[in-house]
Amino acid sequence: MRALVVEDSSTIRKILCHYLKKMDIEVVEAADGQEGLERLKGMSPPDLVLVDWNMPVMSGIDFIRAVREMHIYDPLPLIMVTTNSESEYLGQAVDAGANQYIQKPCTLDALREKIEQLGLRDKKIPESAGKL
Amino acid sequence: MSEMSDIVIEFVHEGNDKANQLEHHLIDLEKDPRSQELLAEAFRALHTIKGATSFLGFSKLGALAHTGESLLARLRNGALLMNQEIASALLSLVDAIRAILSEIAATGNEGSADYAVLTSTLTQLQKSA
Repeated sequence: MRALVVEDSSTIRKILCHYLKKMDIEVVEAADGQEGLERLKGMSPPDLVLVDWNMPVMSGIDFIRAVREMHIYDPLPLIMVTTNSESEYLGQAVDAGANQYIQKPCTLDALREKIEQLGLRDKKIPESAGKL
Repeated sequence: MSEMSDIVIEFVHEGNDKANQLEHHLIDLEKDPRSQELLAEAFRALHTIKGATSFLGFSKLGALAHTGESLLARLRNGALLMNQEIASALLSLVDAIRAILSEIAATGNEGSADYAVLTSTLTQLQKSA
């Protein structure tokens, strides 16, 4: 499995990549929505995208809208990773085309659960050897 | 080196980078106090620091960043206008962030320094419309 992680904070990006690697998921990284689109177009479609909301250059919401306009990516699962917890914001994410959202700060177990809810794997994701 | 210490090193590096950016934006805001662009950039720098603290459990730094973020939010929405007193308090916040990051880099924890006076000042300034 392979995931694209779009997040402007290098620390949080590193943490999310650490989580994904513990689930044996390969990772490609991007620091904003624009770079995320470029990465996406330059690779064979990933199995999953994690995208932050507030980013410079192009926000997570605009990234999701841009991806959903390209119908080749219709089946691509998108998870919004956000500090926004209000239902109004979460509704916006879903309306834009996010399949799932997870609130920051998230644990490895919480992220694993969200990924499993998307039904991406026919087997359980390995338990972590350790946690942050 | 463990993955965890690698992440903390990245956090200290990014935190100092964002503290430098915040300082530059605050200095520019003293000259151009109504600049929405500068206020948005200053807010983003502090928000990035706060966001990472929440993952790593650095609650003292997270609480300080949150208080500063609340003051910047009041400036950004026009409820307050940047003045020398606010700029000075926010620059003190930058110093405090650097001090805590330095402590984290040296010891792995946030240290015992007390920032109650700074927190109180930043909180009071939010009410100073």
